[in-house]
Amino acid sequence: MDTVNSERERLRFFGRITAAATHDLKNVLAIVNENAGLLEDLCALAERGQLTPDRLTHASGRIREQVKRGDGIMRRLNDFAHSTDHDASQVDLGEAALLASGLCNRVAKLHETSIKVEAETSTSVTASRFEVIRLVCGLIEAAVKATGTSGGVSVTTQAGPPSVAVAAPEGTSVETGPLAPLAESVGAEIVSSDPHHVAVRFSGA
Amino acid sequence: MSEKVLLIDDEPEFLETMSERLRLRGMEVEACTSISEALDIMADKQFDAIFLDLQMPGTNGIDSLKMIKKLHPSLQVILLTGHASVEKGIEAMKLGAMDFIEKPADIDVLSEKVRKAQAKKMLLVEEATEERIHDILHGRAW
Repeated sequence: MDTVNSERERLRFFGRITAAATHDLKNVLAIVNENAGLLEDLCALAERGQLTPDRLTHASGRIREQVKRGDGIMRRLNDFAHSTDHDASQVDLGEAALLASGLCNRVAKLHETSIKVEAETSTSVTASRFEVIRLVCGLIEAAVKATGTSGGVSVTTQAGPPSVAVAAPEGTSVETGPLAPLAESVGAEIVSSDPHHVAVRFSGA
Repeated sequence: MSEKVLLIDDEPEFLETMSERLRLRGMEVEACTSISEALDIMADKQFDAIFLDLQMPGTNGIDSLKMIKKLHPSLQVILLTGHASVEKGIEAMKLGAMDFIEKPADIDVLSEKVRKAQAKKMLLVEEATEERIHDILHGRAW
């Protein structure tokens, strides 16, 4: 069986994240495509004198919104792709938590839940940025699966000691056992104060 | 007779625009964001074609397709997806989907699919009626 630190598992994670992001991008493009098509339809109506300007404004506004949404997805995906640039670097835990949450939005949506982030951006650790993101995504995915439709997942960062905490609603149990070797490989450990509340705590800044 | 279409997709902006474009082409359109809503709508109204997103929160498109075909066998279901894999396409067709289309799709292609779906559904209904008449004439339905 592949362990969490095997190359196969790293590749699977990369595949999961890019598949989710590109699926979202396809949805964005589908909406842009339909609205661009609608503008053409409306132009045909204009030739027959049946067009009110608010319909044009509405369609072009939707295109702008989707371009903004697509830009956010692309920025996250690009940031994630660059996380493999260095074996070790200064990783801002707040930024990593925000990125991981954004990357996990689709999996949360499919499980009919949502992710809320309260990140303190001044906390950083020296580690592989890719592995830190993979670890935080792993925690979030575990919390999302435990949560289902019973509420939302919250992600917070703390400065002393540097940590990222993930909380599912009370009464749920977040299973993080398989992630322990990954945490260890980035100089961290997984701690849990309650079954629904888990955190990855780094040993030093 | 105008074609009746039900759109099921978890992207409200997609539903809103697609509905408007199909209506501009003379179709009667209903739209919803979940399969449970869709089943409620289908209990009250008849449709010629359904556009169903393959990946939806809470359930997957293949399971939804099975549910719809079980309850409404003559209804024509066209799967719309962000990622049209060959395996999923084959699975969907085996389960009775009329077609499997990747997003973004061309509105003229979709409109043509709806017209074909209406014709196919009418044919199925006619066949079922003929079979029923045949059964009555030969005394099997008494």
